[in-house]
Amino acid sequence: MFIDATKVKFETLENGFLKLTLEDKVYDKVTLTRLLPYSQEEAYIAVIQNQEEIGIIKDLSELESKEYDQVIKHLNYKYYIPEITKINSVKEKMGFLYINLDTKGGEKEICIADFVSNIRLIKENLLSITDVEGNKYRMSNIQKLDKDSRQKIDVFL
Amino acid sequence: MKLKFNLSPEIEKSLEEDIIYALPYDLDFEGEQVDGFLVVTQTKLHLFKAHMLDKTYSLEALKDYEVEQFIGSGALKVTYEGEGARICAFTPKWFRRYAELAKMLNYYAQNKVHSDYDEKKDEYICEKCGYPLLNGSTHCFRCQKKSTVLIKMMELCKPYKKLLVGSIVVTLCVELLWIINPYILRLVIDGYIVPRNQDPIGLMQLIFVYLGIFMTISILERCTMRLTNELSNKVAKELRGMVFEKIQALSLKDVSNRTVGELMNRMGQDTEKIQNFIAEYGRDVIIRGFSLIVLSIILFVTDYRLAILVLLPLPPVLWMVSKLQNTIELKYWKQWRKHGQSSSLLHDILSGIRVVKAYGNEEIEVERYTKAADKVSEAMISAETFWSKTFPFLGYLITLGEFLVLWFAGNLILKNQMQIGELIQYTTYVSMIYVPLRWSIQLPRVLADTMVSGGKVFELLEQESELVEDKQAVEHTIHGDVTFNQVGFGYTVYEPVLKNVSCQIKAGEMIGIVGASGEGKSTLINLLMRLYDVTEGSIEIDGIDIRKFSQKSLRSQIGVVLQETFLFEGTILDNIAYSKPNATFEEIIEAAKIANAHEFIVKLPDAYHTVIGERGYTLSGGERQRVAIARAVLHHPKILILDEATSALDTQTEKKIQEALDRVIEGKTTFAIAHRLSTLKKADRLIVLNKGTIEEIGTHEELMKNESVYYNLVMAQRQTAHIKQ
Repeated sequence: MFIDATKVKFETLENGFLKLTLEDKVYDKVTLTRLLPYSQEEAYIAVIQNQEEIGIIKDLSELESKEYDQVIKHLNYKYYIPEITKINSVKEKMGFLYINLDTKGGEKEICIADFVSNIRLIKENLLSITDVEGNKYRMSNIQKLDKDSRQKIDVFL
Repeated sequence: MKLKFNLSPEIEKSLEEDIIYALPYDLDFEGEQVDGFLVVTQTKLHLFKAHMLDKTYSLEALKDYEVEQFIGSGALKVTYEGEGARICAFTPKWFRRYAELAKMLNYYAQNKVHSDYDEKKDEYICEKCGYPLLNGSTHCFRCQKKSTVLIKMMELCKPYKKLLVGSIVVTLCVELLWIINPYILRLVIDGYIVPRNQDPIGLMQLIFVYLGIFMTISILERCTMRLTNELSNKVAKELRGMVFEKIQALSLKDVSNRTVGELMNRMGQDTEKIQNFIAEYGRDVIIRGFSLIVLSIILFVTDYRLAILVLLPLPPVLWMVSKLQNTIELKYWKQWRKHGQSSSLLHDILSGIRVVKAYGNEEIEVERYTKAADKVSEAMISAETFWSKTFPFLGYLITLGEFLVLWFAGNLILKNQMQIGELIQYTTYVSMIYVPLRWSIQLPRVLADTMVSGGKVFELLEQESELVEDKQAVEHTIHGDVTFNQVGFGYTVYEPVLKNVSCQIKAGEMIGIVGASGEGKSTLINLLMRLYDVTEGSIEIDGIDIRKFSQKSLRSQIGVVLQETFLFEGTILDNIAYSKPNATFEEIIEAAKIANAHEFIVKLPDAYHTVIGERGYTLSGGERQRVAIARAVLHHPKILILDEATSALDTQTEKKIQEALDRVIEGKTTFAIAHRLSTLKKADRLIVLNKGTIEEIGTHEELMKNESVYYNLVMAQRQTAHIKQ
């Protein structure tokens, strides 16, 4: 079930896919899946090819630094969820929420429908927001939000 | 939708051929934001990054375009020189456009010529504000004026104009009488009581007038109530009827775009808000406005100095109240939400009490519920503390004017410049004017709330169904030949479920549809029933495209038995007769016998009148299935659809149902989604779906010889059966 992290080699191909070499066996076009995406971003990563699991990497820190970089880059792409740093304003219009927020990727103004389902507090501290276009945003630890931002979003949690 | 965005001059200059499509992409494969463009010209596909050319592909070398979807990202995937490749990456906001682009480029790959496309069709971004058009609507909620919604709401009242006007006129009369009352009281006090006027007849007359006014008010208020109730009920009935009819008229796709909760809210909460606004608040705007104007005039005319004392403190106080009201409402709303969450949790725990006890997790659940209850308590305390610190004080400030009047007028009385009766009249008018003023504070909130509900209801009422009945729809008696012509479909544009599905089925054939989960089996059936329209290709019955059938004619000739049987609350008789409401009881018994349902129905105390559902008798899975089969065959359908009809049952029950089905499918064109070997063997032919396309088609024996997808499925099933033994 668990892959020996010391025996893997990852390579990002020109065609945008990830290749895995594990103990002389080559797996083209693998994808990586976080099994615990909300609590363990760098642990329990499933390696999958053609919907079949090759194995699970228990802890990414066990990888060689080059493999670790490859994996992190792939995961950053697959799980593109900008981290929220500040909530500037929350306005409601015709039942939809318009939130202006700062993220690590810059300032964004997003629209949220059905905020009961799309603004969620997971595991007490992790804030997850999905906008009407399907873009996702998160705040890993809502306690770290400034008081103003917290007040603005608190009502919807 | 728009597939050709504006390009920078640098990009445009660098291109030799005409631009056909140009879409931005905003990610790279390392999860970093980029400023990129994918540009398609006559024969090439170019990728630009930061306005510089990054890669160029010849369109000849590309095919099988599709959109891959991840968590917060996606990619345009192609087959390039025989190998899979990802061209560019983007965030979800671009999914739909890239999916449409993929369709266009697949067309090119097949036909070597670019397809025409309508930029305005299926556009989902508002031109004005740049935000998505929501819930599949064609107009923008954000840009919608509140007045538009208000006008639409008032138009609902047109049929009830007389009632509305009558209600307003009667209420205005009541207001006028209330305004006259303090004047009569003043005449009594200043004319008779204070000067001890010895004219009992005069006094009696005034008292009678005073009493008469109160009686008239009482009668007129009853009248108003009756008129308001009648108006309210009629508006509610019409509105709910319109909304429910609309929901019934919409296609399954349109309905599935919304949750059951949302639709229930439209029918319930939202229509109630519109109803209340029309019948009460809307009328009150006129009445309160009238009172405010008349009372203000009276106060100023009587004594402008007192009027200033009363009215001057009001604007800033009312402004403070409205601001604080927003905050208190949010707090109460949060309390309501926490309460809802804790109720939901309680419901969850109590529904699953068996599981809780089986795992001995009572203490954990107690802790969970206690935490949720604590949150409710925190929210309540926060709301009540805020309210108690602010609103009593604000209430005092609002009525400060009364004390100022008492002080100022008291002095005037002591100086004999004012009569006591005058003072009482004046203070009565002052307390009367606070009513419309207090009411006006909540008006913006009520109006905003009603506009939201109105917007949602009208958005539903104005939605055009995706499934449009042909203007010259045919009523055709089905013989049973079915043809799938290069059928393609996806529930979302960028996730096709079926691709290029083609096959011909003769009338009376029994076709088994097999494939792994998620391969499109149920989707194929849904398309045949025209619950959704194909996005590519066509489905024909007896050579006629099903989109040319009248929907009623089509569906009345198709019978369906699903895996998850849904029976309505009602009697067994009602449920069987659902497919043919005017069926005779003899026909119903015949259908029940065919379905092997009659034998258990006669054993029930109330037989066919047995009420089933949450508040009635609970049927077992097998019994429900047999009632569903009876329902499906009652109207003698020409095409029968069985969607895993026996999968959730024990062997003995399955045998009974299988017997019923064997009887039922005779002479009908039957499509059966099945996993059981027994069902598959009985099929005349089998369609094997794999990754949304037909992998194989043939008899059981032919497909077993192929030793391909079907063979593997059967062998896997045999192995499982062997292990079970």
